[in-house]
Amino acid sequence: MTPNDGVDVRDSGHDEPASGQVKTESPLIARGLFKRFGALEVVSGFHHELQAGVVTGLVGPNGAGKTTIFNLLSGALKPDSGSVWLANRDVTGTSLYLVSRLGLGRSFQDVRVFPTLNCVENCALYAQTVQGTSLVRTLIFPRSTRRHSFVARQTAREAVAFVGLEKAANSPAGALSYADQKLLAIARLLAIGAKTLLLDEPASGLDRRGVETLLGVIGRLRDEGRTILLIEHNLDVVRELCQKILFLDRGKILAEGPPGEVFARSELAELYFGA
Amino acid sequence: MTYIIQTIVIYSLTYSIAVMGLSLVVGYAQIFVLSQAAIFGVGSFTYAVLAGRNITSDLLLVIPIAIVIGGVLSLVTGLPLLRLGGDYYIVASLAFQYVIVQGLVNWTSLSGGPPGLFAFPSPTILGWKIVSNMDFIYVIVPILAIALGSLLWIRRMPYGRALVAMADDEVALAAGGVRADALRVSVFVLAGILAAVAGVLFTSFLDVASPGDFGITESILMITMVLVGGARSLIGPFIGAVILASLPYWLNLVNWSVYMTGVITGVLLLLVAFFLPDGVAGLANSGLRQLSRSRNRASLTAADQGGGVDE
Amino acid sequence: MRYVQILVNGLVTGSIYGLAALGFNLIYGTTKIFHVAYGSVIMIALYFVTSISLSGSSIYFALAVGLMCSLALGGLVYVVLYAPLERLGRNRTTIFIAALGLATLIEAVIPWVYGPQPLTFYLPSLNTVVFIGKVAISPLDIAAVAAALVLSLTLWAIIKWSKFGRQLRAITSNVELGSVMGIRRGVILGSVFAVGTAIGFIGLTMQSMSSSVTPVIDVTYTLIAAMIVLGGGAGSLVGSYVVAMAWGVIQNGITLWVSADWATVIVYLAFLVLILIRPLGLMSSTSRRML
Repeated sequence: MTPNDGVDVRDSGHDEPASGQVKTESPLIARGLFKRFGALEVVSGFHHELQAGVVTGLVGPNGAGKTTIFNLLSGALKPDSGSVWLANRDVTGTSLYLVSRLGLGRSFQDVRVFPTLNCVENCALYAQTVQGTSLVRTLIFPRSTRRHSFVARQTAREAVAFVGLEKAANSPAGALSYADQKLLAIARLLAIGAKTLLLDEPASGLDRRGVETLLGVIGRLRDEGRTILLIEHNLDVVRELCQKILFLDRGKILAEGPPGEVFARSELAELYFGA
Repeated sequence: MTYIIQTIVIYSLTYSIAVMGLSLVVGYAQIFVLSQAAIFGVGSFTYAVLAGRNITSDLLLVIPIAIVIGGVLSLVTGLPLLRLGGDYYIVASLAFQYVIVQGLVNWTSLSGGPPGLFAFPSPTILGWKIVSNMDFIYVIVPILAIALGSLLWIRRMPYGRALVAMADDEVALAAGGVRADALRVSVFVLAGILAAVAGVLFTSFLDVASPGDFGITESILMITMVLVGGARSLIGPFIGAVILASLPYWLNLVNWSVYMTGVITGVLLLLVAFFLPDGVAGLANSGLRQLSRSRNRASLTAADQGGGVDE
Repeated sequence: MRYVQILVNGLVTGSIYGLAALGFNLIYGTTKIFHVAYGSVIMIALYFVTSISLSGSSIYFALAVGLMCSLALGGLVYVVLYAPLERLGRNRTTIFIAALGLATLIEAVIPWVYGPQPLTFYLPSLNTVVFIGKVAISPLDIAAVAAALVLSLTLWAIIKWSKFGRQLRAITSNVELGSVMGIRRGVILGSVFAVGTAIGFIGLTMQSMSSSVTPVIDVTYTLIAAMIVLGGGAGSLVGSYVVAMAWGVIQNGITLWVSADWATVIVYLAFLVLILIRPLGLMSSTSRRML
């Protein structure tokens, strides 16, 4: 496990999206990832280098291993072999909580907002760092902890505003509509200062209006220069947002390229929709 | 008559302190701690030894010392224990409970063996001797207020936010950059500290430190206090402590057998399990929690591997 | 020669603990339920035995009644406590809380009814000490060792080869199959509880015949059973047997060299160390799992 040397992207003050900067490092690289569960090899040699500032789509039939790849990239699972590099740092096998501190934001298929906390608090939790969360520091340095908490709440409010949830800012997240919860999940990733985002089916279960709102938000994230990898079944969303897609089946990338090109290939369509 | 009321008040308030911390551990860290009485006993013997040997009976000195001892002991037992899963944790917790208390009993030079120690100098604060029941109440109420106030304040701080989040969804917590296991250990230590403080107060009032008072039965009693009141509120365990700590006295009044305490405790646990899994105060929160039920921890501790959802 | 005596005593103690663990393991390994009221339920049966024998009846009669009782109570606990809670969908922690409540209740009711003083009952013939060479041993000791061995092997054979065993394995490893089987599943699990409790009853009875019966023996009995089972690798019959024997020998050895009080503390600590080094128990990797 690679320690992240106490690095936390939230520490360096307010997060600044990498707009227009030329980056020499690739935000996220996966090299030869393999993962098997028992006798089943779910991921077979997943190899990809995410392009900075680009929205990449990860598509494929059910069971293709997409969420598993997200788990491998974010540190929720350890790969059997292969490596993961986040901004030139080897994070293979590093735990989720550490990887998140390094600027990789991951959202979940089943949303997972904290129902008891309100929207701002949900984001504030993602904005606060070890300085705030440490009990010892809270008790010994109450004033600096309060300041930290104040800053975290500020960041949180901005994140909530970015996704348009200001009106519900103080409502418990559990009381929000499904669509709003999905937006909140994205707001949290903003609060954590993620420059690279892994979004797991952000549009699933949303109606027309929800999808439009979502497209707007993700589009703005893209325009800010963040790097996004998206799992999505809704092909309209994919076509609208993604500059590039990876077609995955049984743990392997079968094709990559712009959506128009990849979807034109009939054998993939067959695979996707079933023969 | 008032004497009994005073005694009941003192008992209730003292146990409340111990149980408040326990409720944080059980409710937020979702660890079923069965060794709280042992730490309570350690705090108790701290006073017994320091005062009994005439080293000091000043609470302003004894309490911090007890905090350190209780905290260290909790840390030492918590770090390894909290890595164990479910049933292993339960058994280990009970084993620790036994080892700590029996070890204390065996260390006869320190603890006076099974009968324990008794007849200590009265506790003092900067020279002021705390003698009567009312004196005690004047001391305990502020201490309880400080403890409660601190916990309420902590809840509004980032740490408290993290605790609530941990109870809601540990995976999302990790995705937020928070380390769950460290958080769990810290709550555990916090609970241990409060238990130790309560132990000091208990023995300084009672004038007896008997190992028999800190056994598994007492640990179960404390857990019952937490569960009956509701593990995720701070008022809940307070209510539970008041009810159960004063129980022996009510029973005495009505001339019911002492064994009714055990009967009532058992029945309460059964009732909680069958009808009120969230305790009394939890009824309000249950609506919100339904929404995130699917990922609710079913195990007794949280040795989570940080797994995501497999497709 | 002392060493042999320690070994023998240790095996006897270990056998009694082994019986405790065997019953607990049967229940835990198959139903996955941590039956924390195990010792308490057994204690009820034991108190029946004691009161019957103290009232003058033949002790064999009392023991027979006790055995029947333990079977019945064991099954009853499943039907009245665990099964309804499962049906209500309560999680493991809540089920544990209920069982804890039951144990607490029993521990309060028994001294209320029978009084807190130690009671004794025994078969004089079993307690006579015989010397084989320089080693002191009693018929009770031999009975304990034999019982542990025979019951362990029998149980192992039944689970591995009999139809009942196969059904049991099917139910517990496949949850859906279990729920489809409906009442049949309840009957099978209830029997598991009954038999497990009965085995534990035998162990506790033997233990009590050479000491006494008090209303607090249940907690230690359950705890030791649980520690042995988990320390040996949950579900593994071989594991718990080995750990039980080791436990008995170590405890007796330490009693001789240090003191009885420290013996229990040290053995418990040894368990804690074991569990931390091998978090899944001794035989966990090469586990001869029951199911």
